[in-house]
Amino acid sequence: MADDTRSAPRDAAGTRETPRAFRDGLGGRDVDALWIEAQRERGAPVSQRAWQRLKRNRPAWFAWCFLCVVGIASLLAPLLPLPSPKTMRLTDRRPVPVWPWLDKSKTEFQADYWELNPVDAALVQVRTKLYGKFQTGPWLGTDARGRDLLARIVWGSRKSLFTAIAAAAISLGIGVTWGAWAALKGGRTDRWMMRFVDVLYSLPFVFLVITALALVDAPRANLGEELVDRELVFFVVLGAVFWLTMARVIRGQVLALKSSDFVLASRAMGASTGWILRRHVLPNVFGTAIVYLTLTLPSVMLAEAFLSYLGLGVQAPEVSFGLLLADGVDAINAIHVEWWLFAFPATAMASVLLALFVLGDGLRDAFDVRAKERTAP
Amino acid sequence: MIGFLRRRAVGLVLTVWIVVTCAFAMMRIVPGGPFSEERKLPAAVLANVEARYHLDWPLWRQYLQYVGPLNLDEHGLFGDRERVFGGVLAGDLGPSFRYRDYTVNQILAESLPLSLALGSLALAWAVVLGGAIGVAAAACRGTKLDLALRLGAALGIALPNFVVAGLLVLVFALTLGWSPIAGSTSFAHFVLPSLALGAPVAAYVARLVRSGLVEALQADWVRTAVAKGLPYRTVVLRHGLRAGLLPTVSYLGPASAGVLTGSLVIERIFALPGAGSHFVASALSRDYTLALGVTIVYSVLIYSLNSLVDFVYTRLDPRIALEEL
Repeated sequence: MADDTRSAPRDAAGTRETPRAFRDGLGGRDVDALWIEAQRERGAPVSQRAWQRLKRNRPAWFAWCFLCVVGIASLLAPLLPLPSPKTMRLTDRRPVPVWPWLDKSKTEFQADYWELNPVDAALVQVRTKLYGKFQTGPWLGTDARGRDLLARIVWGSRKSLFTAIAAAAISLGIGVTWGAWAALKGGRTDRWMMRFVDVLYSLPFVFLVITALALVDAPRANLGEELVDRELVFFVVLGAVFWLTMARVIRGQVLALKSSDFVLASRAMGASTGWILRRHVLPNVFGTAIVYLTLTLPSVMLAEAFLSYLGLGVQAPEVSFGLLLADGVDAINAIHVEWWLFAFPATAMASVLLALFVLGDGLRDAFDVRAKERTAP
Repeated sequence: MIGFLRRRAVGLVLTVWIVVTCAFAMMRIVPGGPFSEERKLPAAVLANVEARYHLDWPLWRQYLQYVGPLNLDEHGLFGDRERVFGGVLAGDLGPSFRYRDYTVNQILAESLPLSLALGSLALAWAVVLGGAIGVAAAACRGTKLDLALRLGAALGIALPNFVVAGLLVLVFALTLGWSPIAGSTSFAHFVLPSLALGAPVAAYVARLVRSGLVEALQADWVRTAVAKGLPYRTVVLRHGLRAGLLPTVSYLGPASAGVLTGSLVIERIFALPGAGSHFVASALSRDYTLALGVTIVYSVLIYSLNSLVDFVYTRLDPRIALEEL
């Protein structure tokens, strides 16, 4: 790692303290000269170089841009001139998808949503001020209850992405802490912590999720009031299930780092464990953690889809990719096929997940130092 | 070899014991029992039913009776002298709480074979197709074919399996009419479900085989093989694939446990009476014994398959010795 030259301990004033043993070990050479030389050798930080490598990787860069667009669109979903994803329009005729320029329907916007959080409610008010009663037509058709599919996909992506990011962040937090702690402690602590991970691995995923959800759901059902926010519970449960792989990977990384020269050197110079963790271990694990984060996001989204399909995840009238896809699969039957209910949500979810995979691969290549050697002629 | 098997057998027993204990504790911590429904049972009836399933015993005694180191029956500690072991130790998973008059053993004996058959079929084609795609993509790395195959594989992972199932039904059953829509009476009924079940596995296998093979093809021994004049096909299949398969093998261990125990979603769409639905239904309805039963089956499968993976490792990579595992 090229930025290890930065790692000589410095105190608050910025001057360098040199332990006596270290100075004697240099055989009388000037420490300051060595330090200046080290400063010259120092390259750009790992993350910065990774970012530049990512930019050169065309598919990964494209995926990143696509995800940014999707992210912004779903972040600003309440501000877009879309119909409400909840308003039903029950007519005899099922509106099929129409081209925007052929759209003759003039429907008026009704601000009827589920119980929105304060931020979303404020955004919806801004939207009403901005566009008044205007709303887009059923460009992607409507579902069986006459709800606009485009609006539902945008709001659904919002829900799914938020769930995925929150759950993945939780899994990142638990996984990195658990793995790094086990590896740094070593010995018996390490063995027991990893044995615990193995046991959780051998429990079926659905069993874990259902038990955890039931555990937090039950007091609510009995008391009939909101003790804990159900959404929050859902994030935490998903995150708590997906940290296992992260913990294993991080542990492996930290074990390798623990015996690396620069950590040993730092320890020999008298740095504390906390300092080594902050200064050497965490920055070096950062790349791996980011890569696994982008690979955890798709699995969390798939799990959300699966649980919502079973009716355990996001609850109607809210909407997520999982609920949309469940509706879509139901729309395929022998009597008549409403293809758009299946095709558009599936395309939306598949493209987001594909972009995440491509980005994850790109990030892995970008953070992989050996990759540069491989591609070099 | 015998030492390896012995170590793994001890590990299996220990792991299953820990898993059973954890799952037992988790099930009991969760509020609500198998008989707490919307419609409340009269108190006297409830007491009788709970007594029938020993739910009125203290937890430690229920646990001992379930695991069964001593045969704790109605007759107390030493009542039934004929058997020392009862419960799980004797292979008896107890009566189901929800399916009255059925034992968990009977339920599993009815549903598990179907799931195992479907899962094996799914695994077989997933490995064959995924492996072929992976080798093809790695062998022509950097070409358009490679890109197309990789995109296809990524798509297989990016779609939830119920979407794949819906798509397959739409195309092959409803539009083309080549396959029956649902049911489990003939082999033709298993084709679409196994395709849907195996799709994500095939996609992962393709990805892993490709990346493993690409890595292996840059190794020194491959250069040596090329240098001594072996045909490229032999180099790829004989030298590259053997080392490049390691990540795939370690992925397939846990993955096949999941595939073999069935998927609720696939079983629901294709109306198959498999074991996958029990994983969800039993945990939801607090059918304690059935939930523990399927958990035991799952953990035994996971552990055995992981041991098999370790064994296959020693065959694939001569540097790994069986004695060290």
